[in-house]
Amino acid sequence: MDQFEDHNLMLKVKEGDVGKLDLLYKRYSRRFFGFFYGMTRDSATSEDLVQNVFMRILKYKHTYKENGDFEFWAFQMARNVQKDHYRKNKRYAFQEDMNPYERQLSETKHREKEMEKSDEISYLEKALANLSEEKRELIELVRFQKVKYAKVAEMFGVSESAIKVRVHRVLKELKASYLKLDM
Amino acid sequence: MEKNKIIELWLDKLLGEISDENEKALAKLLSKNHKWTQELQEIEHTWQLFDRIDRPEPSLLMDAKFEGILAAYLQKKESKTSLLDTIRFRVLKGWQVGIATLLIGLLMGWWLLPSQDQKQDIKQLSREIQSMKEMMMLTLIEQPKAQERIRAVHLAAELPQADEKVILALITTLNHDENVNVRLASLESLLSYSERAEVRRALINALKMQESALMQVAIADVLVQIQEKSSLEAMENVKENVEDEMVKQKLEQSIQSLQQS
Repeated sequence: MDQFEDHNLMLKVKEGDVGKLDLLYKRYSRRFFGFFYGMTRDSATSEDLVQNVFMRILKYKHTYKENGDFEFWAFQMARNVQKDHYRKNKRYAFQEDMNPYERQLSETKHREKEMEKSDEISYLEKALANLSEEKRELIELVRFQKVKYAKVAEMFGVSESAIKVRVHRVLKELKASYLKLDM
Repeated sequence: MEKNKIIELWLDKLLGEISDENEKALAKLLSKNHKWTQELQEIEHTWQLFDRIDRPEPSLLMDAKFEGILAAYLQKKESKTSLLDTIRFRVLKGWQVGIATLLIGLLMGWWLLPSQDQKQDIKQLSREIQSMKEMMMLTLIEQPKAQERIRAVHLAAELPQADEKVILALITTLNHDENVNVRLASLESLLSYSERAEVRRALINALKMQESALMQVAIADVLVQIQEKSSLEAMENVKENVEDEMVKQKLEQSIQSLQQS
């Protein structure tokens, strides 16, 4: 139902009722932010990239198809925005976050928080950061942003079963990688 | 093939998207392949651990920026819709200038004619002029001519107290305007608001984003001027990756200057 509503909203945007984009922003901006944060580990950059996605949606609204799928179309755009950013700023990929959220935590508070976090989670986060861009993107879309396997498969240009096998392999790799870090 | 089938069904199960029929099929397949059960349970553990990873929330500034972009887009679109609208827009602009002139006249009148409520009235008029200037600035900054946009950023620097919208417009211009002179002018105007934390963060962010050597050098100068030590890491990063020797040297000097202060 939601997907159907998203599609109808996007069709209205395409027809010129651009104000409706505000509703799509409310529904998708947090997911895009999560996706970009997972890829860049930087809040400020992620916020800028979210704006870029919506600017592209405005620019390319005429290309949205009558039988389109907004989630698929918009996440494809988000992937392209991420790829452009990575190409332009390779040097900044996976930098430590310097967002206001972290700055607000005092040094001590931050340290306490870090200590509270179990080792297992820290190792998993490190293992995730060490994955190749494509593998991390796959986990981000499937696991964190809950995009259906069939759509992710279409984005990656493979069959649904092939994408599931890939996810399985990445999960195995992650497991082995964070166990190694634990040793 | 059986192995792939097990994986497929197991991953559906992890997402809670498995039908009863498929769940039975999975149980049947696993009963014949015991070695798979343990491996899949380990993977399921990793899958569930993801739920415990903390992710930050975006700031409210992100929503405000989007609203600004959408409003600007809608305004631009409206101004393009028809000749009639263009004329109406111009008349509106003329009307704004007329009102501003009238207000200035009234202000001068109040200066000359002593009154008991004089101070209060002057304050009120100043507020109105300030809001009019802000409105003019936000209109000018959207204009296609670079000269007009430069006027807008200079106007912003003259405002005694800029509100969030003005600051956001300046930051957006600094990061996204195609004309380097406009970007430089907005940098200069932002310097007037450098006591604000969000402006200092925006400057550091801009240093990372700018590709023009001129802008990189100008931003480094501003960061030294406002003694923004938290920009050291960003400066180091840019210095390491920039190809232009002049920029490299300039960043090195800025880093040293910030470290010594």
